Amino acid sequence: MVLRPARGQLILPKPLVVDSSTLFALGRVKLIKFLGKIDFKIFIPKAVKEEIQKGNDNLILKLVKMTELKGRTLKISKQLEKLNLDKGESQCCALAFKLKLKFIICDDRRFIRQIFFSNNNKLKKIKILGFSFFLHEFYKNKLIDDVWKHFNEIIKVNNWERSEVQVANYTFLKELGY
Amino acid sequence: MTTIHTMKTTIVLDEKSEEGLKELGEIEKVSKSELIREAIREFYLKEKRARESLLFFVDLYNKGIITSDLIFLLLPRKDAEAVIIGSKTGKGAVDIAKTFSS
Repeated sequence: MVLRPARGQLILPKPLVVDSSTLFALGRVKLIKFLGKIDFKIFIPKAVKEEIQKGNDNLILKLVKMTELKGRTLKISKQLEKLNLDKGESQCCALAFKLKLKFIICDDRRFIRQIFFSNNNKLKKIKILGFSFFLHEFYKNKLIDDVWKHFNEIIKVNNWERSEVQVANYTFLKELGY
Repeated sequence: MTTIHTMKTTIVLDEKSEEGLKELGEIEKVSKSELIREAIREFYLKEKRARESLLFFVDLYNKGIITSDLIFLLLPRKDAEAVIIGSKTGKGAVDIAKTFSS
């Protein structure tokens, strides 16, 4: 989606790199359709596309842009894999670096813990946002009217009760004043 | 009439736990069975707290009312770690979202 402000200057949608964990979570509660209605362009690396294909969720693939990693970016993702990160998350991080983003959107408990305990300087720079970022955006765009109802549903459907994922997303929403 | 419930079980302890059990028995002057029952009660309470009110403890922790040490005393280890790690992750995401949001 391209916005055209009053001055006639083009504003391109901001890029986001999103892991399959978050996309599946939104898919399970039928919120995935709203991704096409917010002003972001969602990028996924090839490994995440393959995970989505295995999950057989074609609607997700229609709403995101797959980017194949090459050259230096691919090399960075391989280096991250050597730190015992999953291929999907490694490629997401490398793609985020390429797009000059300091974060990825991911709701993988193992990855959140790995980042927390990591001593690697490159990994330490990456921040993790969760599905609640999208709930925040959906709410701002008047696509949903009750953030906490959807938060609770996502946590329950994905078995994220009492996990780092629940606490991180809860803290995020609380800090934003919900 | 009071019904007495009993369950006999064999407990395998490592060296450290065995020493701890002996030492506690001497200090507290209670039987090994009572010490084990007390440990189970403590663990059960921690589990119940986490199951019923984890997010309440997240709020207290995020507001600085309780420390990470206290979180570990009140909740099972797995939940205490979730609170500390999740809280840091969530707070780190807020600044990004504020600057990056549409």
